[in-house]
Amino acid sequence: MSLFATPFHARAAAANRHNAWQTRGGFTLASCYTSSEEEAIAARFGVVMADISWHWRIEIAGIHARDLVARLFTRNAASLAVGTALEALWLNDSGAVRGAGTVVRSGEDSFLLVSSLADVDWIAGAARVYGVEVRDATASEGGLALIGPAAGRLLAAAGIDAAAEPMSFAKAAWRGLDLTLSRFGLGYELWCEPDAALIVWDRLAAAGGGCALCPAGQEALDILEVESGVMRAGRDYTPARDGFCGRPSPQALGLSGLVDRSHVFNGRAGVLAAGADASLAGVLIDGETPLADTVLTLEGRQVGRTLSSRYSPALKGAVAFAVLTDPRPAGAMMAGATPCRPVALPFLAIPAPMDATETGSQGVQRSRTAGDWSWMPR
Amino acid sequence: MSDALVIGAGPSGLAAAAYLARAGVRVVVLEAEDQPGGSCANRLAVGDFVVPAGPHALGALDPRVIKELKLTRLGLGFVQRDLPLIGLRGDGKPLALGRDMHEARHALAPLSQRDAERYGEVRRDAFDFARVMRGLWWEEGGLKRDEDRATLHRLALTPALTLLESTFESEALKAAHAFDCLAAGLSPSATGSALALSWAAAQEMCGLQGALAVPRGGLASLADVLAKAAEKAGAEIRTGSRVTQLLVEDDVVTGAVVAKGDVLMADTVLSSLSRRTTLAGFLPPGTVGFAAARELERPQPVGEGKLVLALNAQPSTFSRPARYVIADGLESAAVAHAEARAGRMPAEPVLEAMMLETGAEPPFLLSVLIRPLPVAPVDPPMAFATRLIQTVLRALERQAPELTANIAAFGLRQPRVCDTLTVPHMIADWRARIVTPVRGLYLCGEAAEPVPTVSCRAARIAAGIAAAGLKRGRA
Repeated sequence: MSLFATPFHARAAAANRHNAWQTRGGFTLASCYTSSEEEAIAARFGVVMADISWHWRIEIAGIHARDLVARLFTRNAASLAVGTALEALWLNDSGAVRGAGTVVRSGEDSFLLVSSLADVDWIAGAARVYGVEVRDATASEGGLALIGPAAGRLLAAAGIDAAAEPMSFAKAAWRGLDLTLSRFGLGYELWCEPDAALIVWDRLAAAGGGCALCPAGQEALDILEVESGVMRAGRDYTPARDGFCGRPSPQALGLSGLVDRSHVFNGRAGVLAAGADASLAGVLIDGETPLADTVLTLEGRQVGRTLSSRYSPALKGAVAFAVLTDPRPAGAMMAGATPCRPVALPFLAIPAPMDATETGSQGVQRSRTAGDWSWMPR
Repeated sequence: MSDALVIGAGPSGLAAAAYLARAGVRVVVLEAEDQPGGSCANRLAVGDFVVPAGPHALGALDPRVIKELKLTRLGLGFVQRDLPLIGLRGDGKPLALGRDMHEARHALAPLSQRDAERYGEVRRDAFDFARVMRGLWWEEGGLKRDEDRATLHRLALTPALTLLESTFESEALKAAHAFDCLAAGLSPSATGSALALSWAAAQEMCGLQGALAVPRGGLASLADVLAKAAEKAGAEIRTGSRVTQLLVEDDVVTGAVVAKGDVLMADTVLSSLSRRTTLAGFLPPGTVGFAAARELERPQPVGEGKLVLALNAQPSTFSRPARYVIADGLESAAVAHAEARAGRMPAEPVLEAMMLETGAEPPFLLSVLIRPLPVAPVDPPMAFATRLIQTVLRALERQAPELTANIAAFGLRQPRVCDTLTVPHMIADWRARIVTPVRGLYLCGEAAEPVPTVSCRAARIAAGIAAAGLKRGRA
């Protein structure tokens, strides 16, 4: 397998003091620049900048593109307005989850799928059924996520209009560079031509002095996503890779919220036939992070199992995603032999980004001291 | 508006229509050609004769279909029943394997004493397992005993070649089974092809007519009596009505569009056509599921052809009523399959020949099924047909040197695109083969059989499911 450098690699290499790297989607990425825990904490009071160029992105275009996305995804992406997006799953024929991602309507007959895990053959095969073209756009752009309450302020300081609404995107011209600004994840995402990537990094770094901007590696990104209750295929659960197997169903992963049962999509019959919904919840572990699939018990009775887990520096403890058969178990739960406590997700939301003039909307409020930011959970 | 549409007026479609009509369902059968019969209709011209382009004999017509639809009363009879298998190999003596075990042992003894002793036991075991497999293949229940499940698991992983090599010593005996090993485009060296032999055993033991039978008046007469049964029960048969599209709303079938542009609405549709034609050809894109669409995209690369020779005299080699399997050996059958898979004409194809009397001039027809053949040959069609005829005649002449001099006419049917046969398909229960991802749409033809055959068994079961579904809908 070939390894690729992202367009930001030169700057990432310069900032990566511990020379800690990892691979995602075939790209070499910084695991952390200083300390993943410090980087995750930094996102809670200032802003961090993380390389997300590795996110799998495919363009779906053609006169039948709407028919394809309507059938492919568990929510009706064909009804989206141009410039807006939704989160959805795609399932195999038996209704097992193959992937999850953000579907963006980029034009009248064109869509963009952004996901953290590639499923090239499946999407290409589905597109072939409809005579629709798909193009892998992963390597054609560089992407930076700006996460933290000061993300809006950073963009304003850099001279970028940060008016994008959540689950939408906008094209912008930025001092001679063409950018796409989106809000699909925890903060803002900036997408640019690979050749412009280093300029974008440098300009943001130059503008970020007043916002406590620091680069964040992939480990910090994982921590922030888990704390925020964002599940990722491949990281937090193993998706189906067979066309007909029945597991994992959206119900079993607690992802029924991403399924519109009234919509006709691939694998719907399997979803409708599958058992009762399980609830996706969080578990605060009073001990070490448990292994995936650890059985959760309540008074000796199995009430669920864990998915992935992380150490949360903000909560100062181990947290795990869990699928519970009883949505509100009462009593002392155990993850294996370790005491734990179920909580609703997110564990701890990232403060929504505010622009420079914002004064308290979206659950975020300015503290009494100017320049100092505090947050309230969403 | 009718309650049910049946696509294709082959034996399966007609049987399904008859059962539905008997259950009080208003049913219309849509046939693309100008006469019913499907693969059993006389459509292949051989001089002044026309014969079916499909099989030349019945493998195992479900006895319950004969009884319940009163086919005997409607005129179904057999001129030949329980035909023995005669293996012809190289210049060796013909090996006759009939139902009479004593005769079979006697024939095997000069070839291998061990095979002669074991043959009866092996056949008994094969029949025992085939009886067990009925639970999975055409009755509700599945396999109940652990040892049966273990046997199925073992056979599903075993190539027919390995099974026969480990069971018998005699090359002639192994070669005699080569044709069955190549059923539905399977290779004898493919994993799970041993199941094809179990299937053949199941056919042999379950049809009242025995291993192989020829209806009086040929296979077309079966279609005729089934058409009579369907019409008598109240079904309407519309010929010249080629279905081009199925109408689907929210993954529920609502009707069909025929080539003339007519739209026929119905609550349920049964298709006796192939899985590929029904699900990939008629349904709107994506309806069948993306993984299923991908599987249907890949047609079976290897198929079966048919050459029928009209003969002025009967070669002595084929004087006995039987099915003659002409094969050099299992290894060469596996090699032939590899050649066909690559798109080339196999040097040594496996033949199944049957002699039929015409009662006119020329007085005999030698019907030859040829396996394995490439569905999409690399040679141009004419060149391929020429090579095919030459190869088959060469193989026949080795057994019957006087054959070529007596040929008055011939007809050739080249292999057609058919469904890919997989092990999961063979070991699935019958419901999984009949029910489709589209509610109200069922397969009732050869595609719904574990291995394609004219048995009408799937039609009977599919009609039962469809009728019950309609009843539930009405309730």
